[in-house]
Amino acid sequence: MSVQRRTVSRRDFLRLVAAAGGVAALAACAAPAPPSAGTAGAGEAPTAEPVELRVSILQGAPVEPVNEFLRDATTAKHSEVTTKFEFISGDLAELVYAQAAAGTLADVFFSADLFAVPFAKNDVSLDLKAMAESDPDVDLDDVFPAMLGLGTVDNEIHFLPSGLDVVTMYYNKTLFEQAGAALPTDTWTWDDLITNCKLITEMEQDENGNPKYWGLSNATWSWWATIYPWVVGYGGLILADDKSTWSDPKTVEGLQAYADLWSKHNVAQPLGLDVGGDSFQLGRAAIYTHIQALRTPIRTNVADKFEWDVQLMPLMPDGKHRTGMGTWGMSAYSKSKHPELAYEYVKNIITPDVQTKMTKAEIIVPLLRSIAEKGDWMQGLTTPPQNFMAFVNGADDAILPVMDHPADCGSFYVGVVNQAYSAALEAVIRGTKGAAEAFTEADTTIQNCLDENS
Amino acid sequence: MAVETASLPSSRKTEKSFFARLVGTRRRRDTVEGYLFIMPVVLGLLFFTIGPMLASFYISFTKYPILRSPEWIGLRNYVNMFTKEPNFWQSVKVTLLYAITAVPLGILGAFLLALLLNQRIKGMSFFRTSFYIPTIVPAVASAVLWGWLLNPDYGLINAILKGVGLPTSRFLGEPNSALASLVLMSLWSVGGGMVIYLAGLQGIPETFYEAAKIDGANSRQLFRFITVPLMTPTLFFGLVMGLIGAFQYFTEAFILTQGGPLFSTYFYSLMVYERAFRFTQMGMATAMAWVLLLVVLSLTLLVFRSSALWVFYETEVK
Repeated sequence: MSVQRRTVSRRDFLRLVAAAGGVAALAACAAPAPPSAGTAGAGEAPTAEPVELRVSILQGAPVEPVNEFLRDATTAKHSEVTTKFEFISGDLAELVYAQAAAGTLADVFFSADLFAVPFAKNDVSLDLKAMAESDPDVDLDDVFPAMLGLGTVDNEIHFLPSGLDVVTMYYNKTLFEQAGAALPTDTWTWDDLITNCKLITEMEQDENGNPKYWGLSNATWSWWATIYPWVVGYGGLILADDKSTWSDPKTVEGLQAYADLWSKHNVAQPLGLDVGGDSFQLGRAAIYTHIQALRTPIRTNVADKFEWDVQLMPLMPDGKHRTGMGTWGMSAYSKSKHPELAYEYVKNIITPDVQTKMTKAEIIVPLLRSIAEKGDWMQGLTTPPQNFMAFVNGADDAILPVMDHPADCGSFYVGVVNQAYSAALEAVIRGTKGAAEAFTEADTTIQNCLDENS
Repeated sequence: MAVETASLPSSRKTEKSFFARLVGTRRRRDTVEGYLFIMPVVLGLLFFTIGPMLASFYISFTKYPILRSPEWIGLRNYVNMFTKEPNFWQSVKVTLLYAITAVPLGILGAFLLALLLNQRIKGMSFFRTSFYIPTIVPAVASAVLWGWLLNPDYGLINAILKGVGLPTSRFLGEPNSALASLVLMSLWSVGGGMVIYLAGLQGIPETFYEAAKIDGANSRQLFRFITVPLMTPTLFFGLVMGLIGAFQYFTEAFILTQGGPLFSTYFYSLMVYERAFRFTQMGMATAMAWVLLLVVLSLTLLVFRSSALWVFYETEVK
């Protein structure tokens, strides 16, 4: 047998390289493969074999301590389960999407209201509804509907919320008193707020005539939970029968009234004016609107610089304390190898035992009616604030965000919808466009996307 | 004997074949080794550059929301980009405005600085180092630093303006001044260009200046007829690199303004990033990236073509 001399020619090499390039391109184009092991069937029975549950969370308070409660409750019932916390850094959505595309997302992961729709519609999060409804440890009817609604997409539950997080008015008592203004009450209308905030804004000016203090902080100016209550409070709507309706006359009226806080009444901190931190905590803005979770950092940062408390949001023209909500919670991965155990972990967040522990640790205001409305939960909590019930009573008139846009158009939180309405609102507040013009443009943009993706 | 005679050629043949095989094996081994040595680079290029580029070209013709498989939609991304995509033309306008202001200003600033630092005076190394240092500060750190300097409420620049009795500005907080503020920021790192121009200036033979002086040339004429022409290849390099950099401008706008206020700093690269990672419209994002590549390529070719008119090469015979 003769041995043939064979060298690798340049042509052969180039062919090899071209073939490898083609393979690389095809591999890069290929659709992500589902996880190779395990099944996603929700009917899988919990196994007695040792199981490691991967839990992806944010490090530190409030998420980490809450997950310690969840871990303890899970392992108390399922001794075979060990929990491994994986701490998230960077952009949560990017990380979750990347891990889901690769099939390596943790069994349980931190989520929040803004991610409910995209994670659900992109098949990242597991629908927990069937498991929750058949679970004797869980009473979904006891959860404030508005809070459960934040994690509900197309009648499916995609994350369970941590607490009753209704947007409430934090106010600087000292600044109100210094300006000779009346303190906010639970019967205030927005006109009352404007009248009193004008006193604060006019109290002191710098050498250029700009106010040194403002009635309202600009920190949450474009948040859906700030804006959408104005739409609902004026009887407007933003989507009807697959038609974008931001330019509906009532919607425009409500949004113009909101923008007037800047452009007409001059009671709000100008957009783009950074005062080196949170203007409320620095004592430069008298009112800041956010959820209960901010009470601890505000208490710490404000210390004894001024006195503060919380109050219900002012009444809208429809006679209600219209406000939004925003909360975080826990989701299970749709392709988890252990979907039932993942649910067993997540469900603890709405059990009375864990809710009570979280409340006593001052992490949440309980979202179970059976606990929240009794008022016992407030006993022994650190003050300020004094008016804890404002966090609970606001839930009655609180509204849910519209979540009916196609995933590819985004939502109130992200994507085309968010960008279109934020841009329109900014133009109205800055006075470069009228509300009707700006929101008609927003409608065109959103409608293009709706038509493209209907 | 017959056996010996018969076995001899066979033995020779075996020896020859062994020798040939030995040589062949060595050659082959050398060849294989050569290719193996270059293989990491070739594979890196294939898998991390050419592969993703080809993939992105394919994806640009699809609707690809990352978590679902790409769906072929032909040229729709390209058509929608120019006709329906909100803020596309605004991002083009912002990027062009930045390019036509920041690039010439950057070249001029760096060139003037290089001329100043080309003098023979004491402590020149210190000045050169000082002007170069900002270019080695990471972009994120310098963006944060400038965010503080330009802060309307407590920033150093407004404090200085107030101190000398001039009106203050909202800088990055106002649509009218935000882009200009980013252009101003870009001048902070002209030290990188300065070093290149300095090298170019020092490469001009002293004899040229001496000969011109003997012919009676004054300082202005030396600059006009010797320095500038002989610096044109370096300026040309600066222009090409500056244009490419300007069209890819991203970091400072991403950190400081996120494209606002009112899209006044909504750069093209920012829009590509936003479409890809915030809107999960990877198809549209890759289509936009390919259009950017074509625009940058066309402009670079245009600059190259124009170089025949204004770039002077010492060795060139015209």
